[in-house]
Amino acid sequence: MEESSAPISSFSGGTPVRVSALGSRHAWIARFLARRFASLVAVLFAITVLTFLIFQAIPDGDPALRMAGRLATPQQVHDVRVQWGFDQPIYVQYAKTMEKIFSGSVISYSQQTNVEQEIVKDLPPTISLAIGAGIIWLVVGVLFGLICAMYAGGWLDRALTVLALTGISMPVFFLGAIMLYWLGYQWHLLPLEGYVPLTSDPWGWFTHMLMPWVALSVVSIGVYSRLLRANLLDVMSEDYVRTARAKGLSERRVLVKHVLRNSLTGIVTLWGLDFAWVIGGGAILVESVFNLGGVGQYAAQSIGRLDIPPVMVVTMMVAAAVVILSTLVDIAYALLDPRVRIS
Amino acid sequence: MSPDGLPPDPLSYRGLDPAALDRTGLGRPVWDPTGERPVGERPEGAAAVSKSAVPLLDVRDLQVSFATREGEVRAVDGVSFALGRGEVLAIVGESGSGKSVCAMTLMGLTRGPNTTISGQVRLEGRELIGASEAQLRRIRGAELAMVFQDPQSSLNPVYRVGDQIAEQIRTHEPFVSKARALERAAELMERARIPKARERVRAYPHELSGGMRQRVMIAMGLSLGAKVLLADEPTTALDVTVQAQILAQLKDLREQEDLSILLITHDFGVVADIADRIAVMRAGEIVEQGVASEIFERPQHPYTRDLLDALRPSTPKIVHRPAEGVLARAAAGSAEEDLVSFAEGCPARARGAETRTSSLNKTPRACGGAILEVEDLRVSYPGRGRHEGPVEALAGVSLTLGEGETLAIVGESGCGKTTLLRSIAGLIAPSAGAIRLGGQDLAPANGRELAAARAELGMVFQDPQASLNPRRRVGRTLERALHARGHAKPRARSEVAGLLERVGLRAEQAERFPHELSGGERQRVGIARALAGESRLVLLDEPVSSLDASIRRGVIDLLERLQAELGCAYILVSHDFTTVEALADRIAVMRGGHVVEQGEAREVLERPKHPYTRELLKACPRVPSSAGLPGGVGSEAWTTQRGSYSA
Repeated sequence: MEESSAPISSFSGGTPVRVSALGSRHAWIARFLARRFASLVAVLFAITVLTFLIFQAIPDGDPALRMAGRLATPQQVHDVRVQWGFDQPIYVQYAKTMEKIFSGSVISYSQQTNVEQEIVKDLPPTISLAIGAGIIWLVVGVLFGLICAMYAGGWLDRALTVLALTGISMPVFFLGAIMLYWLGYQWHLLPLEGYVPLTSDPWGWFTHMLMPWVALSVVSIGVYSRLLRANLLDVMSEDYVRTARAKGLSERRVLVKHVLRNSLTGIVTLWGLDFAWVIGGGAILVESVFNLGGVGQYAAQSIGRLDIPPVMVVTMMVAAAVVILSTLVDIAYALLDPRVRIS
Repeated sequence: MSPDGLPPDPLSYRGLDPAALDRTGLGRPVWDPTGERPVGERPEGAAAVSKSAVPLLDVRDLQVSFATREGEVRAVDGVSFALGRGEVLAIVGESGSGKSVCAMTLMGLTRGPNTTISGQVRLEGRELIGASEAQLRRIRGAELAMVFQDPQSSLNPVYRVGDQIAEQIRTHEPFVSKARALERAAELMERARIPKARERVRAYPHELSGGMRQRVMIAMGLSLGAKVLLADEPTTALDVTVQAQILAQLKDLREQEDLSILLITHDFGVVADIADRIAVMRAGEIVEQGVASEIFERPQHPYTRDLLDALRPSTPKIVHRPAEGVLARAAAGSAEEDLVSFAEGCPARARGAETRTSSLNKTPRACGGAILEVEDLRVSYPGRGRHEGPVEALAGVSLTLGEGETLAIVGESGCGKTTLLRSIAGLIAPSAGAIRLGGQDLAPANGRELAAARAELGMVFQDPQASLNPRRRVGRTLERALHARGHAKPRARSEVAGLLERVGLRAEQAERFPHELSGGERQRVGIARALAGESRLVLLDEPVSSLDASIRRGVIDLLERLQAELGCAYILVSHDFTTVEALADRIAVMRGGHVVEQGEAREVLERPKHPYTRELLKACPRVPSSAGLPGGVGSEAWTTQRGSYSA
């Protein structure tokens, strides 16, 4: 006997029943990606406009003077004004700014260098920092969160919570300075500063990056473990976990296969944001304390010198990185949770 | 060769000598060599059974208590029962009786640092209480299977259905390959009569309907040939027709595979349908146990009698109507035709005097006839996703409701009854059609008129816990309701006391928070809120379905009384025919956004015309009326129907 006629089942629970035919999956993926890409472009555009407004259009005074730096001669200021179009309508200025950025010809006038070339030179330390720290804070954060949830209420849970909260509250530069002092200066375990490229000396690269990684991860580990613990405890009280136990699965399998997968949502979002921020050059403090020579440090120095062009470009970089990674996170959600795919 | 002629399946234990298998480390199962159904009598038609055999599941003096902040809570207090092969034992009780805890304890799922368990639980002679976790894990799923109440939340939403079934198989049979396990899952789903099983193996839980999900749960539970199925309210969350199918499936499993079922439920109707024996639980104890027919015909314990009583309407709704009244005319022309409009006669006049005089004196109003007219109402929602057009939740519904009348709307989930209620309440803007409340058309009404019209409307929701603001004291909630209807603040406060007393609560309870009241008291507050001011029309969305059986009676009586006193009209949406019988003057049956049948309550219940109505009524499991207790409307018809269904 067929299930009670179609109209009933098609309304049950409010969700239209569609047997997901395999053919439609590819169509769905293509549509989904196209949509995400379109919105990505739109958001990036909005970001460029916003950045432009923040740096060029809104502040008081003469933008040309600002751009050219403190030591510029009047002739240089005039050149700047013409090149960037400050004597022209705002949309022309915007067009010129975008053109300069995308053609890689933004010049830092006070430093007499090409901003984008500088950034490219500074990318390796930043990328190393981002990837390494990203892995550490994800793995350790998830691990701590799991342990806390498994022994919720016990002494281990409490101890790790204290550790996490300490990590969250400790300023990064403070932690960095302490590590440098003890591990580097006093005990000579790790190098004091600088960056060694991975390709030239892998071990050197590793020892140089270790402390920055730890310093950067400490805050995130704290946040992730707290969040994951809360999510895990929520999910553990769900009905399907009870079903999994009733099937005879071991507690460990229940935790890893059923509970964890459904608890990762908040973590994935956060990770995307944090990672994007670091790779865009947002880890200013860590890079400066450890003198890594990365994009963040470059931005910090430029701020100190009141050098506008680099700061503007780095800002745009961070924003773009965040947006791109958010899109990737969205796609990851669709993979993790099939319910998301329908909308 | 296995019994159905297929090649021997390494996963099927039938055909192998169970006594030779000890997969759990608890010792060999004690197998009944005669293979007959032990313990207890089977109802009419079954042969006498031998009582000497060992019961499959033997529970003696089970006690489970939890240590909580308020002290020790005895959830299960000395429960004993036995379950034989191929037998269905139903444990009936209200919420809090401990029945679910009992079932979960059999599987060992209640073990924890705060739990104390004592007693004996023997599965085929092997003791489970003291068993280690590892041993219990090997029993769970393989010999003892469990099916839970809400199939939507009981299946992991991120894994495919077939994978979840395969997971159970591979947990107990680690050498079975993934492909083979998926094959087996597909077979099981086919056997569970899930249409298009091969395709649906790859579906996610949210892509299946409630009934299919529950079948998947049952298939999953029995994937390894478990002999005992613990079913915890398996059909409560399902529609009536789907419920009937699932129960039929369970009965088949019992017949064909000799499955023993421990059925936990609060619905005596379901029990009447399928159970061989019944155990009634209350506050952790079994107060009465015995063969099903005995319990229904001659309940001994007063609690059992109360429970059975609560589920039957004491007297059907009394309707005094002269034969040429408008309603009688309307009833004559019911079924698929639209209902006659009430403009010609005021139904209030057609009623008998004794039910109306008090209300006529209290609330004089122009007797204009119908209080609510719904004309060809259409509501559609935009479709979800690219390739789905708009979803028509209501496809042309026309209804009329007279003053002081009760119209019951019945139908399954998705038929549009909730949408209809919400449209009348003004929460949803209709795409077409008109709603006239007291003669005034609601659709073009602007803000103030709409608010004035809504002041005469009250709504009672299904879950009183969720519909009362938990941060607000009950009295404040009622004050605000009165205030919203236009009562000035100081007067409102004094009215609250009167309102509470009218619904059977004490005036002092105005200071309580919702969580400090019981379920029934909360619903009474909800009713008070709906009545605040002089509501002429109260919309009731499943007002008693989340309440325990013994409390329902009280709330239904309250609703009847209030209608008699205040003369308000009710629109009642319910799937429970007991409530409908007790309150309804007229019934409208909905399906797929249409009203398929309308008419006077008695007519629709006893002589349904539309095939869908008949199907719905047939599927509704009924408690058989007994000699000692008064039966429902046309109780003779009920027993006959049930008899014909089960035959």
